[in-house]
Amino acid sequence: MNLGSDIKVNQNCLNITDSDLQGRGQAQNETYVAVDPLNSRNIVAGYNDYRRGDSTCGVSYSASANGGATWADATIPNGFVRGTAFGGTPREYFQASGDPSVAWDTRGNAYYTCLEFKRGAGVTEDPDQSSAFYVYRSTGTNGASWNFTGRPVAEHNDVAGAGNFLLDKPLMAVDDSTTSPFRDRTYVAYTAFAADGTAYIYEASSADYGEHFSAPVLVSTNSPLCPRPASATHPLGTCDNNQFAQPFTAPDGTLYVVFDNYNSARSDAADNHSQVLLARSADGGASFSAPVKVGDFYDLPDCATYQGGADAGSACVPEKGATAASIFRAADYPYGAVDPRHPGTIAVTYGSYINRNSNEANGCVPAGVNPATLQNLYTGVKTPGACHNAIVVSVSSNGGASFTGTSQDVRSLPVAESTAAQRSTDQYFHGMAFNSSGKLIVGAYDRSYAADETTGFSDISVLTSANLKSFNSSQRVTTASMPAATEFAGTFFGDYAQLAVAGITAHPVWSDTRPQDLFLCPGTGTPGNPPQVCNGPGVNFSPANDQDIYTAAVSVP
Amino acid sequence: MRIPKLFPVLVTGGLLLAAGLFAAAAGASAQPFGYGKLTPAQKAHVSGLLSLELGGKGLRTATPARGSLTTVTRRRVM
Repeated sequence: MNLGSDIKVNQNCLNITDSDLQGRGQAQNETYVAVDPLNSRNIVAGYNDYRRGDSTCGVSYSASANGGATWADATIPNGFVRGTAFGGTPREYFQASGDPSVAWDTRGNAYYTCLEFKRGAGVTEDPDQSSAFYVYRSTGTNGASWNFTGRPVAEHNDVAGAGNFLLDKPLMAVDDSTTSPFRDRTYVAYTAFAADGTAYIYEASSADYGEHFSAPVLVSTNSPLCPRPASATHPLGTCDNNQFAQPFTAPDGTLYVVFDNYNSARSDAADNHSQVLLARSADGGASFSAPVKVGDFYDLPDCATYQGGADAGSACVPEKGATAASIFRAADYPYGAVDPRHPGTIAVTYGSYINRNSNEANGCVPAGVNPATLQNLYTGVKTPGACHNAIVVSVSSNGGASFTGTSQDVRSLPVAESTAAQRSTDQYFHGMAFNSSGKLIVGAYDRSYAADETTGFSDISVLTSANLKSFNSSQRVTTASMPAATEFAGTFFGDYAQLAVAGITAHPVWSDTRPQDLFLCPGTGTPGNPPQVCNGPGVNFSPANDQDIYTAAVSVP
Repeated sequence: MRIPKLFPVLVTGGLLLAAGLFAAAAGASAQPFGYGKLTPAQKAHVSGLLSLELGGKGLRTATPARGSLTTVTRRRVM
């Protein structure tokens, strides 16, 4: 159901899941959204959808005349794909999928990119650990139906179950410029975690509306910006440790891919910064420039260190104070976009735990990494007013040749913080786009309201910058704060969110934890005791909650 | 398109990927959790989805204390 002006996107009702599998059969998270450039009434949203048990690539669409006020669910037909790449069998049946992204071309087609994978032995009887990316296209139905089978972008055959290679985190862009020489070309950028310890970024493109994709092209090419390779051999260059690639295009057809890189130089053992890099392609994704530095960033802190051992191995967004409710895995990632009025102007936004308002001056001090997890450590993580994560803006005024963050310290870059409360509280999982008048719109999870920063609750805010130097407007989108996620033992709430802008209306789409989870009541569902449903505690917060997808139409003049 | 054949040739223009990158797919014995074979640096940054699904964290979660569950509604049988 809707929550005031917050509109529910996924239309299913909560399944009653066994308490030891909470989240399975229930959660929706990790959102992406795109608006049809030909008709802003048509909106498609993608998300991880656990309603069947494991995650699948979920999709909802809004095709009404009311700007996203009503939504319907569709189904990405990913029950199987052709097995050509998997030993020549007629079919490959993937067991789980997710990491969605969506886009539209200039002819009214919507596209959906989906990571699909097998679990392997140990979880199932099937040793297959293959993984692959597929693109689905919606032609003529604005997201209500999709082509079958999915068209392969990249497929890794691991039917034997070696388990030494993972395709991960595909994001998509479609060149939606009617004047571009690469009009309607589809791009997918992704990470390949390989057996040699590398994690290079690749891109593949389609010039036939997603029917066929090119061979992968290396994006994270060798660079002096990467003096600390993570692998012993780094066969494709020293920029071998990357994640969170996002492609986006300019009206002239230039393709940009922005991504996190973890090979940056560090000054001493306490220094734990990483960097955002960007590579350009002027030939439709066939080749890329050497990467340029968009800016430095400081990733979120090691969760176990600050949250009583919770979610070991991951970073998270710890709330301030003694409690440890906010333990879902989180990382800072970049998104980029081109100013529609000034195509040489590019904005890249990304999170950073050290920023203009969170740094040594107020007690937030980098303290190296946890050697067991390689996640960042800081002094001031649990201290109110010391550390907080913020969405930083780095700008290029020369078509991506350089950025403000190339030479400026992240401590001096603009942040998407408009109010006094935002300047001392966490933001994470953001989305961004330009509106039609060239204003930069950022939407993010925001802990500046009520006691969010100390309870681990969150809200959604949409912020506006007219000059790319400051944000003069912030609108609270959520009608009430969302408690810390509890499904999956509190450890998973998706990895990202996104917003889309049509004209001067922003459509942030987020996973919301205000709906409560439900369990079968003890002692019911037995002879003489009809089943009843109860709420109950999560391992990190009570009462336990569900994760549903919500949106709102936000005016951003 | 099959990555095992095209990947090294088209991406590197002659540079070789590590020999074990794809070769292991052909005949290695099954191992549980491919995630477990990632290096620490890779594990630090692999996506939450794969970390949850392949890392073993999310397969089963702790069971809330049965006595702490509270009835919120009674569903009518139609």
